[in-house]
Amino acid sequence: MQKLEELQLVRRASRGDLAAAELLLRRHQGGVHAYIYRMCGKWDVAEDVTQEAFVRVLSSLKNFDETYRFSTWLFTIARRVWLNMCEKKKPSSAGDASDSWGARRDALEGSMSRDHEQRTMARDAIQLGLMLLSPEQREAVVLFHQLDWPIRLIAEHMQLPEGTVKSHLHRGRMRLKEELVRGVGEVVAIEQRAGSVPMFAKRALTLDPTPRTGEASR
Amino acid sequence: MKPPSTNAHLRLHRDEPAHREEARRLMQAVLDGEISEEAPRLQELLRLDPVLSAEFDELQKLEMLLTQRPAAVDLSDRVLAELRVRQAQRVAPRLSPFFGGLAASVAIGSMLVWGMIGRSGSPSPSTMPTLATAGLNTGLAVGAPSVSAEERLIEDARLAIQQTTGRSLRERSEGKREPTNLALGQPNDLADQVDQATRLAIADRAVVHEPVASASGDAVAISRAGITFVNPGPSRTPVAKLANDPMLGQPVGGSDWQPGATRRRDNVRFLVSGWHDSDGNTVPVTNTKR
Repeated sequence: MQKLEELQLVRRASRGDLAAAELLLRRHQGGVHAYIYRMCGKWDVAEDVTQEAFVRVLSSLKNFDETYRFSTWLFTIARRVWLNMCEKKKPSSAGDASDSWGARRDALEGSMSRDHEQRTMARDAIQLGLMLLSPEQREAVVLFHQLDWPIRLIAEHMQLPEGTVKSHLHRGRMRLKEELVRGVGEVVAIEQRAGSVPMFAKRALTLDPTPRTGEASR
Repeated sequence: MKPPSTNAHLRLHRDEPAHREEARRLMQAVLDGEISEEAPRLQELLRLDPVLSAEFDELQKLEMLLTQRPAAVDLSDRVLAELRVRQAQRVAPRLSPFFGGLAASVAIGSMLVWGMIGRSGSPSPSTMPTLATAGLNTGLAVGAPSVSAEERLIEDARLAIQQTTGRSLRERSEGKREPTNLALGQPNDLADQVDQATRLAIADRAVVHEPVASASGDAVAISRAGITFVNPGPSRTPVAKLANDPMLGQPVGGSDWQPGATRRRDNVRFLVSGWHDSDGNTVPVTNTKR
């Protein structure tokens, strides 16, 4: 969304236009949810944080500083909400430092058993790998690769120098690659015991990004 | 004492050849978007070292994988409901029942007036608020919340649509398929009733702005809970050249609009992507569901 268009929506929403508020919500909810989910690995926590962030932001649009982008402000609030939640619920929401792919997979699956789609996601090898990174590495990787943020903006968001963000990003990528390769044997063995090896998981674990015909899109 | 290298993490083993650290720095710069993967020095290093070449290949595949986002979510109903509850909680203690009732009455009144004007087809769309904004702003104008009134109106609209379609729009059926009695693109006996529902003053609606080439001035669109009703207006006739119009295209599947008929579709298969609001902005259809 162009900055000007976004600003017009924010102004309308701050005047009480629910349609504009809903548009802002629909435009950004996917990104915020993806960000928080990738950070914490828990679907329900990501939903709760996203909801709370939007409620706070839409309730205080009059405080919005128009020199910034709405999305930047929104993600800052979402991050704060999530960190506050982590403080209250330590350590479950922040992502444990378990080094086991099996344990991590089980923890993820247990946290979101609502439907098949989410169970499938629990086997998302990328998510498993991300949870093994440090929070700083994970955040740099998620913002850069998932949300396509530039380094400068990530540095601003994380309140770190750009060089430090790059270092987290580089270390995160290298470790993620190593973890995915290391996790092949363990996860495939688990899935085989469960009777199936999802194609996307195989693909992720062998680092093959090519989509296959007939595979459920996500 | 030699200061630690900022790229120390790029040397995986103490006894690795020095060129690998340089190559990894260049690989990361490629992934950061700072240099092209065709950079001569990187290509030279990759040619010399198959281990590095395989590593770069893995990193590029990882980059592709990292663009995969989790499944989409739609939290809009939850957020808006919570927002209303909190607004009501903030204001309610300060208000007497009288003012709350007054706000609701004014909100309903303004909507009904607008609804009647809307049916006459005379007013300029640019002066028409959406019902949602009418409710909210009216409440604010008299210093009382219209939240409860608005909630009731939306609930009434949902009920009206449920009665006419035989299905609650809140329901999320498996696969989010069309209710069988309102199949995609098929005429059915309920069309008139749905048409009436879309004309009820208690439903959200947006007026399609006159300049939209493919819609007449009295076209309306109602978006609720992931389903959009659109009536392009009585003078709207199917025109082949508008098939790709981003605002009001032809229905998917080859069937045409009937002048004045209301059509209902899941947004994902529906070519209506938006309309112009009262400020002249293009507003996409808001309830997009997978």
